Amino acid sequence: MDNMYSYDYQFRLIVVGDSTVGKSSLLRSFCDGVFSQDPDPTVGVDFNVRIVEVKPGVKVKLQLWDTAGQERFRSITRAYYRNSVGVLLIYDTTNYVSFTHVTSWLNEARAQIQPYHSVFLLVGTKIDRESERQVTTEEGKAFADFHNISFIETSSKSSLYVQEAFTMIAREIYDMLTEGRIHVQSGWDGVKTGPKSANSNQSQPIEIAQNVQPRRNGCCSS
Amino acid sequence: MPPGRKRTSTSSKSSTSTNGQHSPKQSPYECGSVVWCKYKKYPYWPGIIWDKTNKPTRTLYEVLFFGTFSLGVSIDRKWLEPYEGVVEFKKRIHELKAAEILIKNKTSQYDMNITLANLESFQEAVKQASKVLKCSSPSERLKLADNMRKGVTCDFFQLDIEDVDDDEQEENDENGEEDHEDSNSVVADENTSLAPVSSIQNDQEFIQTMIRQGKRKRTLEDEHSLSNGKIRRITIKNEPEQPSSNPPPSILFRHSNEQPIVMCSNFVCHSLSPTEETFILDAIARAGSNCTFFEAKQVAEEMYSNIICVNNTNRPLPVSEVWFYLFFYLHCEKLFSAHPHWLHDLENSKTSVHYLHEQQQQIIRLMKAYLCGINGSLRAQAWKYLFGFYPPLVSKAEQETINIERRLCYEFMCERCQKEMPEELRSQLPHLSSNSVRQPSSPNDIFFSIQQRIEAYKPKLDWNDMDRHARLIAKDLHRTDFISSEKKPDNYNYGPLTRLLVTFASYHPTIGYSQGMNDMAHCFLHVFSFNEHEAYFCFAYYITQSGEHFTEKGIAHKINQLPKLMGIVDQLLYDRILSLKVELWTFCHRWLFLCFRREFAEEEDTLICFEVVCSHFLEENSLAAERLLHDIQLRRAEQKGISSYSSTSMEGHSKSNEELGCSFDLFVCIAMISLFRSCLFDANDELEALEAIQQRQKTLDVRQVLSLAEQLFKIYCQQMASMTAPSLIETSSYDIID
Repeated sequence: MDNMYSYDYQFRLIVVGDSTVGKSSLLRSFCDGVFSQDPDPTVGVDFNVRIVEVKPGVKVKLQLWDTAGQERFRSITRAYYRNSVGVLLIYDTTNYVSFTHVTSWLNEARAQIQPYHSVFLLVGTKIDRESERQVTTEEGKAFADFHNISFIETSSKSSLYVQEAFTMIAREIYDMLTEGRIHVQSGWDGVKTGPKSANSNQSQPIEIAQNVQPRRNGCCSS
Repeated sequence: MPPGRKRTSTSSKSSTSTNGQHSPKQSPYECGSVVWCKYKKYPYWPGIIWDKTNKPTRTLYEVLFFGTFSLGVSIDRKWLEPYEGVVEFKKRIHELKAAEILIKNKTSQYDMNITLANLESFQEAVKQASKVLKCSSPSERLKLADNMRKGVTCDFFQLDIEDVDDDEQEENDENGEEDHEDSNSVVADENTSLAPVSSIQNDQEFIQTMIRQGKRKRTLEDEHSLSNGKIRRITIKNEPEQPSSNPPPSILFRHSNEQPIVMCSNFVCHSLSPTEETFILDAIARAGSNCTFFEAKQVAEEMYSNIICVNNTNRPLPVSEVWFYLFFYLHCEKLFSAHPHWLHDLENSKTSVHYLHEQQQQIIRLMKAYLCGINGSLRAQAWKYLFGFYPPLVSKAEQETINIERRLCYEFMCERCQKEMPEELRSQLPHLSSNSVRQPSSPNDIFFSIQQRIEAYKPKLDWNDMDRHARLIAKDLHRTDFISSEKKPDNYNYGPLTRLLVTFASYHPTIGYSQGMNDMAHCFLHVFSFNEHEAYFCFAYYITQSGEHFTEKGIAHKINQLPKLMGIVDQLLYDRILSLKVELWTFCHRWLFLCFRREFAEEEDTLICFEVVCSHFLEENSLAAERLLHDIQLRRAEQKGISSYSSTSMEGHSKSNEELGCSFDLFVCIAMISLFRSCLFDANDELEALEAIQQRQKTLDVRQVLSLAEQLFKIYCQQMASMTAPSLIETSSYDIID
């Protein structure tokens, strides 16, 4: 329990995307390390927490808000953008329609987050189903480049690049924080500093693949 | 109703026009004419024209009422009818009533509901009226009436004249109705010195009645108007249209003895006022606790027969054989706890008449349920009543008919969806294919079949809109939350679930499909052991009754209500949550939206919770409510044209529920939050609180939650009843959030 309280920063991220693109699966894979074939549809908003290390000795608590994809829940989910410092835009690589909708998700997020600064990450899911792929890596990458955001493709089932995706966005936020492009502000919960006490000598709560570089537009096999 | 309490509330607008219309036809009343006079919401009462004032547009009368000799002023002539005998007048009332219903298409003003409470006074008044009528000249009549008056020690009531506009008048009417009921009971108690109730206890009584009537939806708005002394007839729950018949206290799932139980329905026979019901209950009580069920039945029937005889101008009416069974349904709690041996009596007796036997069986089942809660086998049966599959109290034969009709209707609906659905859509839903409609065999079946076919093919279906619903349904089918105890087989047949959801979405375009409905639908299918038409109609009833709950606006509305209610019933916790900045009450969204579907570890617990939360449907599923709803639908149909009648019928449901703000699920929600109290108070910030709550999810005991919710409901009622200061009401006005 103790290590729950030892972190330097707390980032609040929101996960959005069409229904059934695999938002909840991605989060469960990241936070609990499990994958289920047919999880219950998310109703309203769920939330998950995990601590990651963005650089040796700097731990960040990621507060992950999982939203329902169905339009009907937008009025609820919309309210969660404001206090988020990062947005994961999810699409399903086996479903082209979900990819075409990313633009509207991006626009909605941008509109809602103003005037605060935020970091976006485009995430393609389900790359284990290569044979059913409808959106190529190049298309995803081109989209991300065009909007100047980061991009990664993942598979929750084989937990491929799942850790990397979250580490990537966490590092990016951390970098912006150190560069002073994002500030800890009162009245905004996007970024908060952790409890100052006892955070130095704790063992690493979660091990993170150290060899992954914080690449921009990084990725990807296939 | 002693006229001493009467108030005048003649509407200037409406009376002017009416007056203008028929004054040439009928000669105006003169001073000294004996008349029937109707005060709004009070029964017609014999009186004598005491004085009249001629105004440019109309004539206003002062009427001295017989019996208690109070004076009503400023009465328009449309409220007066010439005095004949009681019997003749009853007939006339019927005509007037029929004519009015025909013209205005709403419940009539003309009612003559003399209850036992004011009977004595009424009979006295009639006696006096006929005595006075014997005098030939008006002046003699006046004199005689004046003499009578002097013999009665009753103050003159100078009544206030209220020139109110129509809307306000409505409210005043309702207000008057409340007064009326109150005075009824007070008078009754004075007359009979039975269980005296002081008027101070009235608030308390009111609260108890509300609690007794179970967990039904109450609007916050309504509550505050109650405490304001005004009730607006905006919700279905304000059922009674007749001033002296009480709101049918119906049925239900009650949560007591740690067990929710199912009780049955409201009256189909002659409606009784609460006072009259009390009379009957007292008569049974006087018969002693050792009396058998049938002795009690006899006592009660005698009493009932007296009452309806009195209410029907002394003409005795036969008492229906089933009446006492129905009465027993209503007062099961009271009667059964005093006479536990009745179960035994009933089980040992055998009635030859079929329908009586049915009733007896139902009672026996009810009593058993009272003892041990609904068990699985009873649930499907109970749910059919709960979710309006059967109207309250129909005979077995009727049930069968309804069952056949609905089965056919559902089959035709499925068939139509399948036939008319564009190819492209259908390819997304491979499980849709249904069995073809069974061929009717008997002539009777053919008739039903044609009828239901018309029914099913009437509404226009819009397939353009169905596209996104169909996509979502196809996606969610596989992700349905299957009942935890049963493992989903690999070759699970998605057919029933698909058909149910698609049919619902096509026939309810305003609601469509929303994620989470699949869980609900499966729950219904499970309870009805995959009997599709039963599951469909109950599911549809549930969803439409929940109104906008499943639409975007509805979700937001519910979530907005919650903190407000919380602030009323548990200020401390409310402040704590505010200080934690638990944003938007995140953790409650799913609870409310899925009706706690995922919140309890055991499937059984989930179902119990669901039943209790839905139990108010039985209130609404009563005859009076049905009538009201029908009126709404008719009015809408008129506005929109007949073609859209059937599609508006469902919207009628949701519309009438739109105003219902504060339903029992909110109390359950707050109860759950209260049980997570420690999580909230121990946590340092929002995140910790949410984590703690998340960890403790599925650890709650459903009975604990429900009984706490009931307590909270009582607290809420007390709070609302004690809230009288206008400022308080102002701050707690729960407007519907846009």
